[in-house]
Amino acid sequence: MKKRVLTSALFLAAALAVSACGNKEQTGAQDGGSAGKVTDSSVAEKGDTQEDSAQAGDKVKIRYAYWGSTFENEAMQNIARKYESLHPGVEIECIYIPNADYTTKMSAMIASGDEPDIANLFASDFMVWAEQGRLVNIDEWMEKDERYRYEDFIPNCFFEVQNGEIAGRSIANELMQLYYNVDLFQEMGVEPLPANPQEALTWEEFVTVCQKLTVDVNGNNALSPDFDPEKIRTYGIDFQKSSAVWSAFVYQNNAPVLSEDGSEYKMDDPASVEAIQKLGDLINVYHVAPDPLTASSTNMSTTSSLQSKQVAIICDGTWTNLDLSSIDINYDVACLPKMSGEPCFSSATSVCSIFNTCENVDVAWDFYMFLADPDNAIELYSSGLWMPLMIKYYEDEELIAKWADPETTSHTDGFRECAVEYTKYPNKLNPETCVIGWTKLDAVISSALDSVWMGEKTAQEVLTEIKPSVEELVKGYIKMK
Amino acid sequence: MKRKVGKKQLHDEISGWIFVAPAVLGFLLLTIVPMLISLYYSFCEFDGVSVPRFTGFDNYTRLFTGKDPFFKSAVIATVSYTVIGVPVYLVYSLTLAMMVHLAVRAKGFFRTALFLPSVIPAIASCLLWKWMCDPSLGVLNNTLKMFGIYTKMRWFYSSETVIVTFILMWMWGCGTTMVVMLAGLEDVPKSLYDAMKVDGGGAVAGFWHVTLPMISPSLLFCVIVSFVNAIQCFVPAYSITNGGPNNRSLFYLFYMYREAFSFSNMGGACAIAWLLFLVLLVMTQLISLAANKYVYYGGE
Repeated sequence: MKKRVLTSALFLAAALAVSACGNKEQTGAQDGGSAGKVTDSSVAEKGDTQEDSAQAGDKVKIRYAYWGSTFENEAMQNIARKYESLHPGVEIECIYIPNADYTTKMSAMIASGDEPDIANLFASDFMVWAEQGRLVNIDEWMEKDERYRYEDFIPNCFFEVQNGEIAGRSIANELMQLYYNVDLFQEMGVEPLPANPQEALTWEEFVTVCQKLTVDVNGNNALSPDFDPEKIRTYGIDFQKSSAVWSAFVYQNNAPVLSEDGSEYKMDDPASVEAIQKLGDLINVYHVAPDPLTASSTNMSTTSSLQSKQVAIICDGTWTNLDLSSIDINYDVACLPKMSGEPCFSSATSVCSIFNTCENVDVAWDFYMFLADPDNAIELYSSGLWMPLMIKYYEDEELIAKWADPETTSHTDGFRECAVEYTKYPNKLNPETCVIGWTKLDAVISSALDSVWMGEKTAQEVLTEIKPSVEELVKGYIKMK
Repeated sequence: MKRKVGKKQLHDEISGWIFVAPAVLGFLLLTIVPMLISLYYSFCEFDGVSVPRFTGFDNYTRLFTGKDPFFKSAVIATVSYTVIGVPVYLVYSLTLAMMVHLAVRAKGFFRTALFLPSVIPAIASCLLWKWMCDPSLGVLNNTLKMFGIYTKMRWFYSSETVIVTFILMWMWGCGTTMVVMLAGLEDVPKSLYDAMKVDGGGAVAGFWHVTLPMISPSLLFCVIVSFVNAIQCFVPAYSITNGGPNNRSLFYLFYMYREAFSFSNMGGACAIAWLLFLVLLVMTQLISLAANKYVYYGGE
C-alpha cells in the first residue's frame, strides 16, 4: 500500500513537472476564421486596455524578431502597438536581439523549434534557411493579395531561392551616405558638403575638406605644417570597417567586389585596390580619420562621435537618420565624394521573411506587408529609419512629402537630393545584401583589410594575398527580383 | 558454490548504486553522450539546425589541406600565446609569490592586492583592458603622454603587439596561480634551508635545490591549469579584438565558436573541437610523464 502511494506520488510529480515544462501557448479558439493561438494569462496582462485584456484569450500572437539600435527598437515597438490598435485581435510580440548575437540567437531558436513568425535576417543566414525550406514562399501570398504587385516595388526588392520561390523581401531601402555636423562646419569656416551627386566633391577636394576639419590639440588643422597627428582633437571623417562602408567606396570607383556573374573574386582589380587604398590613406597618410579598430574600441558610436564633435563627418546607412534625429545635433546628409566617373549609389539592406512554422500566415503576411507599406507605417519612414520599397514614394510629390519633407519629417534638407532622387543614378547592392555566404567571405576580407587600416600593408598586397582563400568561398549572387 | 548474498548486503549495494547514480548519470548524459554526438557530427555536414549529412573525414581534411582560411591563423595565434604566455605567466606568478612570501611587512595587504584582479569577472577585466589600452583614449598611452612620451604603441590594435598585450592582461590576473604557489612556498620547512646553509649553499642554490623541488607539486598543478587556460583562451578574443587584427588573435576556441555560431558550420566546429581534445590529451599525458620525473612528493 505504502509502495503504491509512493509510486502514485512520483507519477503525479513527474506529470506536473512535464506539464510545467511544456509550451505555455496552446492552440485555441478560432479568431475571425484563422487558426489562432491562445496566449497564457501572463501575456494577456500586457494588454493596454481592459478591453484588450478581456479579448486576450482570443488574440492571435505574431512574434517578430529584429536587430537595431535602441531607437530602432523603440520605433519597432511603436509600430507594433499601432498595428495592435488597428487590429484588436492581434498581439505582436517584438523580439529585439542585439546585432552581434543575432545569428547565434536565431540559430538557437530554430534548433529548439522556437522560431519567430516573422524575422529580419542577414542575407547569408536567409539563404541557408530558405534553402532548407524554413521560410514561406511569399510569391503565393503576393498572388493572393490584390493590394500588392511586384511592379509596385523598387528593383531587387525580393529575394529568390534556387527553386524559384520568393522567400523574403528587403526590410527597407537603405543607402550609404555621409552625415556631417553642421555646427562644426560653421565653426571651422568650411563650406557645407554637397547633397546633389552631380555636384559631389572630387576625392582630392574631399581629402582637403577633411584636412581642414581635422584639428590637433593646439588648434592646427591637418593642412598646417605644425599639425601634430599624434594629438588629434577632432577628426575630419570616421568610417566603420564594415563591408557596407568600404564596398560603397569601391562602387564609387566603378570597381567590383565579385565578377558580374558572381563566380570570381575581383577585389584585386586595380580600381578596387585604388578605392581601398584611398580609404586607408585617409587614416595613415592624411591622418584625417581614426583607424577603425581604435574607433570601435572606444565603444562610442559614430553618431555620438559626431554629436560630441570628435568627428566632423561619418559614413553610414540611411537608417542613421533615425538615431541622429533622436539626439541633440544639427546635422545634414551629403552624397559620397566622386572617385571616378559617374556617381553610384550603394544599397545596404537585409531580408525580412516569414517562417513556415507560423500558424497564422495570413495574419503574419498582413503585418509583414503593413511594415513595408508607408501608407500604414509612415512613422518608420518619416522618422528616418527606413526608405520606402514602393516606387510611387519616389515619384509622387505628395507621397514624397509624406516621408521626406524636411518641414514635417525628421529628414534634413540634403536628404531629398542625395537619397530620394537616387533612382536617377546607377545603384549597386552591397555584397552583404546579395552575395551568398558573405558572412564568411567578409570575415576573410575584412580581417585582412585590418592591415590596410593600420598602415601595415598596402591594399594591393592584402587584396592579392587573400585571393586564393576567398575564391574557395565564392558561391555567387543571390537572385533578386 | 553460489555465494549467498545477505539481505543487508544487497540493500547496501543498491543504496550505493542509488547514491552514485546522479553523478554517473550526469556524467554519462551531460558529458559522454554529447561528446559522442559531437564526434558523429564532426563527420557530418551540419549547420546546427537541419538534419546532419554524413561526409566522412571532409571536415578534418579541409583543415589540413588549407581549404579552411582560418585554421592556420587560429593555430598560430594559439600556439604563440601558449608558448610565450605560459612560461612568462608562470615565472611572473612565482616571482610575485616569492616576493609576498619574503615580505617582512604588510604581507596580507600585498597578497590581497595581487589577488584582487582574479576576483573581477573575465568579461569585466577584458573591457577594462580594452579601455586602458586604447591607443588614443586609453590610460596607458595617456599616462605616458603626461610624462612627455608620445608612444605609437597600439596594444591590442596591432598585429605585432596584440599577443603580447593579451599575455600582459593574463599576467595581471595571476592572483589564483600566485596563491597556489604561495601555499606551496609556505609549506617548505625552514630546516631544509638551514641544512643547506650549513652545507655552504647560497640563495640561488636554495632556490634550485630546495624551493623548486619542494613546490614542484604546486608548480605541476599551475603548469597544467595555465596550459589548458592558454589553449582554451576565448573571452579576450571575443570581447576585445574579435579575432583581429588580421586574425592575429583568432584563438582556437574563438575560431571554433565562430565556425559554429556565426558561420553555421556546426559539423566543422565539432571536428575542430575533437582535434583540440586530442591535442590536449596528448599534451597533458606528456606533462604527466614529465611530472613523474621532475615532481617531488614529500612522502616518496
